[in-house]
Amino acid sequence: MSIKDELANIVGHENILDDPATLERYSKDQSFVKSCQPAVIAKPGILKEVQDIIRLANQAKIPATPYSSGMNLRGAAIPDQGGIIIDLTNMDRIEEVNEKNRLAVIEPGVTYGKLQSELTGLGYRAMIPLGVPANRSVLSSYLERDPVLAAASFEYGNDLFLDMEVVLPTGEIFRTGNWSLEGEAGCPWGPVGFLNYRFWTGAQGTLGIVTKLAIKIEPIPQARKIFFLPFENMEKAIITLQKIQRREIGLECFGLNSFYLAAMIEEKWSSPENFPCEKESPNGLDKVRDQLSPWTLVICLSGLNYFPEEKISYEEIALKEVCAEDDLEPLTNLPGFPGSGEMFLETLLYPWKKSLKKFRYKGSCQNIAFHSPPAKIPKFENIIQGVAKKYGYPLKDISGYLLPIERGRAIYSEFDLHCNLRDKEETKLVKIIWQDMSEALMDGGAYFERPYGSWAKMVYNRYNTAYVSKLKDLKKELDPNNIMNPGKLCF
Amino acid sequence: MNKNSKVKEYKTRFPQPEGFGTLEDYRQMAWDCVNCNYCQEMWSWDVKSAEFSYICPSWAKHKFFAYSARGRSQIIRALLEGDFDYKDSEKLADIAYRCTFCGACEINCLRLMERHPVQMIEALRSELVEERAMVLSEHKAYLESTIKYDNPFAAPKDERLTWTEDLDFNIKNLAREKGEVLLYIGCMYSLETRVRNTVKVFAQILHAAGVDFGYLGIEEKCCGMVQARIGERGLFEMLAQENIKAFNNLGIKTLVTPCPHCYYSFKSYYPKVGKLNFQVLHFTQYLKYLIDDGKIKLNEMPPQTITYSDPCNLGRWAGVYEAPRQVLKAIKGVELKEMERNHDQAWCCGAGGGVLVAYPDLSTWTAEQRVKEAESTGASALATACPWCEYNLETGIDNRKSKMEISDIAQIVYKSMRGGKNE
Amino acid sequence: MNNPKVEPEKLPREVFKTLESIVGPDYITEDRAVVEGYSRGLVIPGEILPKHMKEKTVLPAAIILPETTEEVQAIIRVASRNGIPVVPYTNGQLGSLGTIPGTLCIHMARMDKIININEENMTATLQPYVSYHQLQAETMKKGLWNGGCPLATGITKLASQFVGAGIWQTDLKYGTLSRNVISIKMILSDGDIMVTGSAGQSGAEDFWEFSPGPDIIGLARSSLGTMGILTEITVKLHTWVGGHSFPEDIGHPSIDTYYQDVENKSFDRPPLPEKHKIYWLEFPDYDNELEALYRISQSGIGIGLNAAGVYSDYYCSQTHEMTIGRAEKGFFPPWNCYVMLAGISSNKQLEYEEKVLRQIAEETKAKFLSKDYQPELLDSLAPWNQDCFRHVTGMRMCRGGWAGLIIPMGRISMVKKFSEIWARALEVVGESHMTDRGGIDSTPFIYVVNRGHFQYCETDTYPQTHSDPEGLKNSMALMVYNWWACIKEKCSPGSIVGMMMEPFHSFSPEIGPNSNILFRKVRKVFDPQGIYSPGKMVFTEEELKAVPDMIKDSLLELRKVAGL
Repeated sequence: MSIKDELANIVGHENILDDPATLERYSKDQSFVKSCQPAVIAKPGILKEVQDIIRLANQAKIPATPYSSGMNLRGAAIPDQGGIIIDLTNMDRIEEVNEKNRLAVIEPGVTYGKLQSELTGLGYRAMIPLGVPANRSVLSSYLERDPVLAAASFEYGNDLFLDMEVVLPTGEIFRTGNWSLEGEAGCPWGPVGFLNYRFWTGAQGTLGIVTKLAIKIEPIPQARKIFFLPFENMEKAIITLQKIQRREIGLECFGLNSFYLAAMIEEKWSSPENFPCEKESPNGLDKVRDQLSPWTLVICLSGLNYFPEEKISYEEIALKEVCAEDDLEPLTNLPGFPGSGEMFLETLLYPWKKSLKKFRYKGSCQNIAFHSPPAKIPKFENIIQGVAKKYGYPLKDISGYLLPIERGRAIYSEFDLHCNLRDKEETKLVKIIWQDMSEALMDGGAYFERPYGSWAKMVYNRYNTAYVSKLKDLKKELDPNNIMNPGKLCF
Repeated sequence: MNKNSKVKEYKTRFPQPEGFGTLEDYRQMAWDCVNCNYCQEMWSWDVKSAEFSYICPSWAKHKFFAYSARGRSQIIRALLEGDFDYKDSEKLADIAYRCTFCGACEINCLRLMERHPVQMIEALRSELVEERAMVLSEHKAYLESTIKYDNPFAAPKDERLTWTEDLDFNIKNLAREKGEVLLYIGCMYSLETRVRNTVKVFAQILHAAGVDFGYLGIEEKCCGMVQARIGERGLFEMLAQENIKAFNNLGIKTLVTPCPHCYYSFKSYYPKVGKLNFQVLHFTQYLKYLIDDGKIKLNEMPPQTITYSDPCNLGRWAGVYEAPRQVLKAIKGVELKEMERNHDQAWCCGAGGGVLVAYPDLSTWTAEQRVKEAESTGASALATACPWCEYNLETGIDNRKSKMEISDIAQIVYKSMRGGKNE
Repeated sequence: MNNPKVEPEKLPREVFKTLESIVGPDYITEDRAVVEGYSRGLVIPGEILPKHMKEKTVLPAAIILPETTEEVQAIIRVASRNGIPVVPYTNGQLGSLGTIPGTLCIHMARMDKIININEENMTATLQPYVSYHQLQAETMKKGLWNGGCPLATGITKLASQFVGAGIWQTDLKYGTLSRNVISIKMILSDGDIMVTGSAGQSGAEDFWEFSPGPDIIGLARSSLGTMGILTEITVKLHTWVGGHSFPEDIGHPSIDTYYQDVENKSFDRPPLPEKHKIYWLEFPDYDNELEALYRISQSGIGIGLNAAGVYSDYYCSQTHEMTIGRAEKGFFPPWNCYVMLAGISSNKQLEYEEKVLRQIAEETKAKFLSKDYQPELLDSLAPWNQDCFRHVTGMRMCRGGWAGLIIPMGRISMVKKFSEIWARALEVVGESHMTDRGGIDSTPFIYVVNRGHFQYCETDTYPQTHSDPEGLKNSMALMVYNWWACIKEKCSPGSIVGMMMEPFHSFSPEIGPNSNILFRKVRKVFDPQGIYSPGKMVFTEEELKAVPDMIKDSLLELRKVAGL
């Protein structure tokens, strides 16, 4: 029996795809990660089917790559060595939403759009990153440690996991949290210590397939007030940002450069759903961009369910005190853009509505994402600009996003190089710039904790050899046949 | 909360033995050490820095648990249970004797667990000395001297008179004359040349205040504290009985001593043997009384910052924390700055428990740590109220080439009495 | 007395000599008395009963005190080459004993430096013997702190807490030590150093907690020293507005006047740090208490939210007689909680949060303890004023004998279910002390975590004295029964917030499922020679087969009794 037939026995023929167009579609995404065609796509619908596929892959020693939505946009779901793609989009149940205990139980196919829609109807929300599509898998996004917009808040914007269910690379089930003895969801700790689930984060499916995840949800604040602080340069922005964060003011807090902000504000571009997307004419982009400061901090104050306005009131006083020290005044709209405050309030709940518009510039965004200690961010910005200048890439065309994490102990940054993938020359150049920039940043001490594609080699070559060695040994123990997304990371 | 409980409860913790306890009396206490380590480190609320956060000198220097009350508890338990024998360890005596009896472990253990680890260690020493003839040679010298000279320092008895040579008044000898107050000098003050000058000050203050006092001259015998703590309880009991009889016959109302070891010996150890029929005060308590009663006039001193090191036997053991401080604060011009480890958490000077003579490395190291801590306050002077502290901290100052000066509180008071900044 | 001696198995002579050449003769010993100082941890029955039974296991072969990471590496290489099992020791409280005779105890007491406090990145890098109270004292001077302290007290060491528990009273906001570790340096069994987080990348600073890709720290947390030896840990710091040091406890007891001082109430009444408040609430019943925990935690106020239960009988009682008297009288309200507030953003934050708290108190029929209502009770609770931040009185719980604890976790509503299980455990196995009933007649100790997303709750057992083997066995049986009863009811895995020790790991296949089989693989990777506390966290197949029948049978028997 062929592999395809064996798979069909497991998931049903209707859930097997291997036509050339489909295989082509799954072989690449909008990133520079080299394309590689899978042999077949299998779409399981339940846990047992996932287990059976993995056992089959072990028997036949065929690579298996999990695919939750394909919306990672950085090549995580592109197989490195062909084989089976386990498309989990059919497993899209929101199994439980528990308002009292503020949790939701989701399968891999549940997207941000679907989840947020269901939750907001109940007065709740999931915490969501900026710049990810609505049809990104929530489970995969959280596993991959996409930092959410509220990451500045130690309590509400980080550590979003509760219980987890994973199918190990040899087909057994392992559960963390209270699920580890099939208890009710709601606690991430255990079975051995507090943090077992961390081992499966950032793994790009190389250590097993997470088939269910309990996550935290939060009530939508009953009152919110948003403020903007424009800055001429990043150094000044970081200084004020740190002061605000030290006093733990606000929930969401992030910085956008003029390109990113302009792309969100300008009115003509539509928000894409597929990537790469069709580029749209820049129309009023320049005009909008020229009206904006090089960097703008966005801060949202929130009040929950008890005297929300009073909470906002005292935080606003504190915010103004901090700003006054630096001769700044927080604004409720961007200068020249009435309604921008309202727009951002909506963006905080539905980021994809505006934050993906930047893709319309050239169709694809080649993202460089890294973490940095706060004091070093200006230096990294200089490195980026230095490399861009070297290749003649216009600085004003780089979009930039800064996200303070946990009250500013670290800054997560994303800088995008825009690229029309249909233009081979441009693609080649941008690829070189992207590579050069990544190397230069790493050499300068920028930390890339999610090593997609060619970052993997760069990162692991620079990383503690004992750690890398143990990681490889663990992989060998858990995945003796090396079938789970082989070739990724350091494996 | 106990509505349905069927279990009978033990309400008392460890019944205190009559007199001195034997090691067997501490079997339960030894078992009940929970290894919390608060015998080694400060009461957490009081910690102000990482550098000065330990309280047990012997553990802080050697770092093996055996050198803390915790380790000693386990060792005592094991010896009682026969897990090993006294002669199976070369370091047993070392472990038992590398302890100044500062009581830092005891106050924390009492406060948490109602245990008395120092009592247990004292019982262990008694077991070693009195039952097993395992006495250190340096301590043996102390004991033999006590028998021969009534003091542990092998000093002829008449050396107790040396400090009186330059006195400009005659001091009564209460062995022959009557007086209300006995100034009991103690062996360290009488016989240790480095601290001997301080003794004059005590007498001069009392004389200037018009107190009807005297001393015992060469009739003064050792209080017995160091002998008890070395483990030779028999010798202590003999001294105590003799002293109790002699003191009670003097007809005094008050015994004042400037030495906290002697003070504690009379207050806390002597009741195990007999009753003293007068009050016992440390010199700083008496000073406070004299100041409050207007019998001493204090003049303003040149502005200075002083830090005070609580002697263990005065402060932590006996609870006399405030009298010395109040005396200092009564002197205009003196600003008192506390060290990080103060009152019940004070760091030992390193001299007590027989350590000064037997383990000079530990004794000196401990003193140096205390001086370092004193320096960190920014104070120019280090005040104390104990001859052992004065002696050993001065060693610490010399070794560290510190600019700090050490004074007994009485010396500061006396300077103030003599004119202060106008002297 | 003719009790048989307990003699440790010694190291081979040439191994001892080699180790001596690494640290010098002053810092290694096999002296019988010194070794005895390491023969016990905290008084969990698993560590005391072997002493009653005179087992050799409890005694290390030798104690070694390294001073540097390089010395630790050298020691491990020698141990590895010669197949010598090792156990790292800091405070020597939980799970620190060796598991087989001939174990080398590596005591980290000389590695007690705070290496660095980085105010900008809000991190502190520590050697393994740095305690919570040391770290807090140093960081508070700079307007920062680590975020909390366990009831295991401020003397515990963060590095060992990382491989152990590390649970805090301020978990409402700060989420235990788990949320607060940036990186670790761990000596592996081949002597190499594994570094995690951004510190592992050459050229990057030590500021970010996740390693690239899959994060091994997920396995190292709570690994009880079975994966390697920590020689450095970097932890997160947070804004601290409570002043550069704690205000002094205004009273100082002394040894001779202790009981008088107790009667005079002259100590143990520390003031609160500035810009912080603690409120005690008393509820009419359990349901209102739990509802209040939900509402308070989800309102977003406060840095700590816990219910104290019988624990105050111990912590706030300066003598055991007080503890018993209070327990008998039901002095402390059975249904209660305390809320810690901090004015981090501003003083107005404190005003706001107090207003919210009063509203919730009204909604849940709670009364505030105050000078107008139960002032004597409130005064008795004064130790919490600083205990909440930097705990110390916790060890008082061990006065009455202490034999261990069970800390299940889950939704706030689960607490009631746990109380039912606990009550059944006491019926089936039997009490050893009246305060065992804490958790049934009153609330267990509840820690609300992560803004109310879940909680963990604790009850402890007290065999009255540590010298009574029968009492200890009873308490042990209570814990074991409870462990399996929780599994049977699908309540929560692990006896202490999910920490795992053998023989329970291998005898609880329900957990995972078969978590022991997965962790055997982890052990194989990190400890192929079996030198790191062999069999402590997970048995190999051979070790499992070698478990004595007597133990196997009693474990299986208790499983049956618990309904498994």
